[in-house]
Amino acid sequence: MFLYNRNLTRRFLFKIVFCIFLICNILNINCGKKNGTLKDKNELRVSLSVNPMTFDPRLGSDVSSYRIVEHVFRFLVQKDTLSFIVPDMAYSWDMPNDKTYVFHLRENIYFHDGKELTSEDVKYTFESVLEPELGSPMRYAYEDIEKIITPDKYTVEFRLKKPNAPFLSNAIMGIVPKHIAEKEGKDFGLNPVGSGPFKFVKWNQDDMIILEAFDRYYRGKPKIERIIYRIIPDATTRLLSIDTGEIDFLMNDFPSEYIERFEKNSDLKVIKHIGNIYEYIGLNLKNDYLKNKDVRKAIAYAVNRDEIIKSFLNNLGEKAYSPLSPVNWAYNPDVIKYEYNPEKSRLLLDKAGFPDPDEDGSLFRFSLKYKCNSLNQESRQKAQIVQNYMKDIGINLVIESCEFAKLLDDIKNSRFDMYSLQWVGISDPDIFYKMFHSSGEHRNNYFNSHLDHLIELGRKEIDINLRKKYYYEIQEILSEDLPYIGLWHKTNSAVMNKNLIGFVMFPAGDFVSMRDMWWEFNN
Amino acid sequence: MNVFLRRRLLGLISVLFGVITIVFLIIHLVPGDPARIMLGEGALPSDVEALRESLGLNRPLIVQYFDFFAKLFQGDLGRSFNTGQPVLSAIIERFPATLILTAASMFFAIIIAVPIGIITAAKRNTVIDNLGMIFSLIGVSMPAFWLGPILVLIFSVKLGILPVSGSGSIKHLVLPSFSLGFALAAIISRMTRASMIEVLDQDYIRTARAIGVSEKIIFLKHALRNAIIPVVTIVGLQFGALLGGVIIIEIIFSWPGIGQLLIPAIMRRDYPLVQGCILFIAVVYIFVNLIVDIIYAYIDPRIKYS
Repeated sequence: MFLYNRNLTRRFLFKIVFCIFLICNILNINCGKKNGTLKDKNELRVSLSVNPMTFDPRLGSDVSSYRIVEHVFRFLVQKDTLSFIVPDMAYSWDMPNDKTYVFHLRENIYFHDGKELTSEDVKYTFESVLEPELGSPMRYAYEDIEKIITPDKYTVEFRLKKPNAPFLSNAIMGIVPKHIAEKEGKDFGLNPVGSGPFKFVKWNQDDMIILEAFDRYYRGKPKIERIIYRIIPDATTRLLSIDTGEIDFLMNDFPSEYIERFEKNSDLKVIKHIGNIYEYIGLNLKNDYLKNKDVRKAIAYAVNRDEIIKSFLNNLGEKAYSPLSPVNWAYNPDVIKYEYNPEKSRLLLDKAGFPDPDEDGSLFRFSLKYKCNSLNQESRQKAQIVQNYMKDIGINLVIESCEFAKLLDDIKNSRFDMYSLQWVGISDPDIFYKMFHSSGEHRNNYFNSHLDHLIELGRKEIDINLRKKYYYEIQEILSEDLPYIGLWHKTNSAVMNKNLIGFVMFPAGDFVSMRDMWWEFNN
Repeated sequence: MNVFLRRRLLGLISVLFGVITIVFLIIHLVPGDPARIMLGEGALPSDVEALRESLGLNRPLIVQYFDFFAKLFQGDLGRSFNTGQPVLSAIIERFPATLILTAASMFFAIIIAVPIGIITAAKRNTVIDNLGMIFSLIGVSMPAFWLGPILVLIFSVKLGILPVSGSGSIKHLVLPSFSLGFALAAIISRMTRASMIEVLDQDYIRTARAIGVSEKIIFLKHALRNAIIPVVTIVGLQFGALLGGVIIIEIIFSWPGIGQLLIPAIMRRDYPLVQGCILFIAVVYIFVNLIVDIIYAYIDPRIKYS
């Protein structure tokens, strides 16, 4: 029996070895060579963390959708690296009065199906966004449009109900071809046709998106022939994918502790620049403690931003004193800066009438609830860091982490004392309307009629210097009233193969410069 | 058999009814407004309200519930709130990928586990048996979401022989299916061993040996056929666990299956999509168990359904 069983075992082992050999051959495994070390010079593989919702520029409001839209479509105007508006398909524009914008389109701009882009397409795009049936999340940005006129094939005139300075920023909307979008309806986003540098080829849901260079793009055919977007939801997998060369380009979607690892990797290069993401702590001004300005100031002084940025963010951030980042044209550098000073915090709390009960710091002065996003590791860690700083000045912070949709719901319904969140993609300072105007979102029960007035003036004023003056004052008021406690502006970090040339970083981390990128190999 | 099938199908309908009701209530009662999530932070309150109206979210919950059932009976699972795609077509588009991954994991588990189970039973109380036990302990102790990245580190990063993630070739299937199937292999191998040992001690095996039947025939024909019945039960039951585990593995390996559809749908409160996915998974799970029951009758002549 023993002898037989040994034979059986040998035969079985032989079969296993044979199977492994066979599988290796089927898989064409070539041991010792890493994936992706030899590049197709005409291809760029980019990682996205979330499957896009749609490629219709009128409907997609998520970042993933925009990453495709900005290549497949082009806009009337675009933003430069300082958030100034510069020409795109409209080579110029003028304002006969403060309620009218006239855009002059370039000639010979073609959609990917070969038809020329005209003023009718522009008119159709904006009018369809205003149709409630389309359900565009961008509709609110265009509600001031009264009428759109097309005097000729290359001129579009927007007549507004009232002066609206951020209108130019809002004109950054992908222009869709009327003859296709009208016919396709909501399905247009599944098979988009635009006039951008890359044309849409294929979308394998939750897997990959393929774009191909468009040879009739008005600025010339891109050097990169194909962009392949890989949908990789897991952060570790994204990190390993760029390590092994399976993807060539990764923007921001990685925990900050990995930045050192990327910088040490000789096959990669990292481009960093301050972005327009504003991380803050929101305060509920209806709370008995937080309605006291001294308490808010005490909290602001208690947070050591330098330490957080160095240790927690690995220097991928800059201290935030205003919702606008220092690269924004309306940024006021002279607002009150709450630098770390726990002693001052304690004095302010004493002054506010909340003294240390036992005078040795072992008992808390009062407790507050702090809400954060349970599914976001950074949000949870940030909550613990803030909790420690608050403990140091005698405030007991009780962390309640909940899923993002519930967090938003709680904030909207004022079910919080404090929370941490971010504003993403701040470019036009009119964002203050959404943040703090009484008719805006006012996430934290902060109302200030003078601030409302200044925000309205900023929205109406066309003269950029006057606008700047209003926004300077707005930022001064906010730094004094402290409805938000600014933490940091996150630094955008693009990690890419060292042989990729030509990437330009924009404050919103846009991929627009990929149309001008190319591969350069030394040998 | 027909009576059995009828009874099981009736039971199936009541289980599905329960699943749909529970999922419907949970997803609707969890805080979070789909319209607000869809339109984003800056949307006009009037637009949010209009969208809620057009999605039918302003109706009483009980009306929405019965409406969902009414459409379900017409084969309509609704449309995704976010993409507008019909839920059924979104699921059908991704289900083959999930099925391939689940089946491959099951295949991996069986081809590893059954031989190990047989060998360790034959080599009871030897070093080989102990090694088999260690394999099982390791297998059940390592969750797939941990094993997956470890395998990627070894086979993709260090050795560079398999891709980190993605789909499209057999190469892409190896690591996710192994990660998912490894724990199942551990369970099946222990089950096969225990069952084989029990059968090998039976009188008819002793008789077979006494009359000079070869060990090969005893093991593979007489013993294995009887020992495999409880293993089939375990495999059937574990299929449901695999369907649950596959959702996490799909996220880790960027595998374009149901998991990648379901998780973002939950985050975005895409009610029709969540309900559709859960319903679909429940149907598959119930049918697999039904098939397992039917297979019993074929592999064990003693089992008769009436």
